[in-house]
Amino acid sequence: MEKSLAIEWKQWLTVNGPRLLLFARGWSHCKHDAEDLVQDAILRLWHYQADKGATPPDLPLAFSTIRFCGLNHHRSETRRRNRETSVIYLNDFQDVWLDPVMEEDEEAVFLREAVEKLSPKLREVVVLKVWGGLTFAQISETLAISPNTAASRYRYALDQLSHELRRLKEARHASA
Amino acid sequence: MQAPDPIESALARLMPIAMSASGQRSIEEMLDELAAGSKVVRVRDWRRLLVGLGIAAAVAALVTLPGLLQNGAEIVSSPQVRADVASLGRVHLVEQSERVESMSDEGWVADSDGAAMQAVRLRMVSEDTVRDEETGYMVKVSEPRNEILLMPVTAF
Repeated sequence: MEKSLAIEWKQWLTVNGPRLLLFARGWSHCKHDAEDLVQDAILRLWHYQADKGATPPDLPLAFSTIRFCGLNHHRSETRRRNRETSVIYLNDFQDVWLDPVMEEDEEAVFLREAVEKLSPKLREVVVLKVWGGLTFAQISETLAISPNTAASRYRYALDQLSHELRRLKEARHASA
Repeated sequence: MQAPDPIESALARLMPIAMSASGQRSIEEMLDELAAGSKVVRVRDWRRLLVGLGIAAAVAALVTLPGLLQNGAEIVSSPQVRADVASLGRVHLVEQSERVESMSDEGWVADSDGAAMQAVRLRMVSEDTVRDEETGYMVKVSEPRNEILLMPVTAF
């Protein structure tokens, strides 16, 4: 019984781990932190689901739990940073959010960078819609916003991405 | 049927990266441990339930009374509750947790430097689970509280 429960959750993790990790990246400085955030969220979800048959949760709940954990993490991180103002944090430029193996052309590389540069509010809607597979109604539940706001942020993000992609291509052609 | 936006098609070609082997293993080990310890104790007899509730009330009183006696009507703070729970002789602290139960947007506010901050009201719940060694009963002590989280506004 216990074994089958663990197997069920592990299968759920195998299917959904990458999309949860991608969403967690919006709340983390690096992949390692994002994995810690996913683990923290899964621990909370496990206890939360204990009264509900102990089955793995649905995705909107998992995403919103990651968001709550991210908020908690942000809170403690802000306090820590205030204490360590003299420390300089460097970006890991090899640490990408989306899989470079799947990218076959230059456009995909530009697009990946453009997604990472989106503002957090727009990016989380894009992540939940495109890679999370959520509907606007589910996104609105996850982010505590109206479905119309979710849809308009999504459209706005796509417009920004299109514009950024066009700008990068034009810059490339001009320099060629 | 509406044709997908070309940018949506391009986005769909990008795939989220997989978790690292160590990250995946760490979570799977945690799931194994959680599953191994997930035996739920069900109280079927209402008299046993009443005994359990009595013990819960007694533990709560043990935890809160010393603080109330020392500080008059002042409410005992969470660290003090935890210290008291941990120091009780026959009661063992099994688990401590803190979770965000709900969150609401409070709009923008200005901090002391005049910078725009996004205020979010969080309803936090701290929970301590203790076990009475004599009876084996588990008691959960919950302490809800409200917090305001201020985050710098970086995008408009």
